[in-house]
Amino acid sequence: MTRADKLLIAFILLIAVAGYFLVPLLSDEGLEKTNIIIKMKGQVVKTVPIEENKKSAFTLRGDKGPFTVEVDGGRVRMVESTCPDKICVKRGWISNPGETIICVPYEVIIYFDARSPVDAVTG
Amino acid sequence: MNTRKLVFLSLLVALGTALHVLEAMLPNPLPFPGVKLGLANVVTLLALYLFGFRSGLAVAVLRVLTGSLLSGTIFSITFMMSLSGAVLSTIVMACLFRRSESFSILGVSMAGAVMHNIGQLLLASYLIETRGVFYYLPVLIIVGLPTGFLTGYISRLLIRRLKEYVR
Repeated sequence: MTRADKLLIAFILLIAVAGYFLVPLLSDEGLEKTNIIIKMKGQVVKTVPIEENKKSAFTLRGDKGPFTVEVDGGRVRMVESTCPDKICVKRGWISNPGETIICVPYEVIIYFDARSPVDAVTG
Repeated sequence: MNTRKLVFLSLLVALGTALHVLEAMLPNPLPFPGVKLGLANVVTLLALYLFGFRSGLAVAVLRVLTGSLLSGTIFSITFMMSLSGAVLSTIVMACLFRRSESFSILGVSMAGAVMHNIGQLLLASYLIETRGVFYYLPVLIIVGLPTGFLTGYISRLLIRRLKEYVR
């Protein structure tokens, strides 16, 4: 393994660590969440208004099988899924706007519909 | 293209396909879902080092095509991701390979593994219209380095022995 290799590895690791801190910045923190939205293949299939202490769960049909989503107040998770890797299930609960649950094989995204707490900013 | 090269590349594609399918059957002992050993990339590296960029690219694309055909994932989103990962990875590896005085095959392979993951996530984020896929990128990159090292190491052993049979 040459010196250039080691530099390359260091560079890659640097990007990985930077990414770990930068990716959450892409999210929309500090906004008020209004709804939980589930999109499949680009179409919104379910919208759940956020009400504190209100729990619900529902099962939807993915490409190769069903998946179950649970909502608890302002947080949501994928309870179980018939997709191959179940990365979406292992994600667990999400509660911040900008966080997402994604199931790639079924092309499902679960995210928060959020709006800014102010209507406009001047100056 | 002479017959010897044609047969050689075809064998590499067939081998890559077998590895692709086989790997899909292996259970994953790590707590990170969706990570693979990427053994099929050995054939891409072999084609690249023994025959050049165009052959490497051809073998990579064909391997993804036939591998996903046999795995039942062809033309699915998984297939698109594999394809974009393989193409991006091969291009980057070829670029590093051209300056191979600085980079050994281990470095090239590790970079290829990382770029493969990045390529996959890029396409996933485009097709599913979300940037959230990238939250998994740091994990994939860090796991990609040792798997890239492994494929590079295997490739190096094979290339040494296969070099004399080319041409």
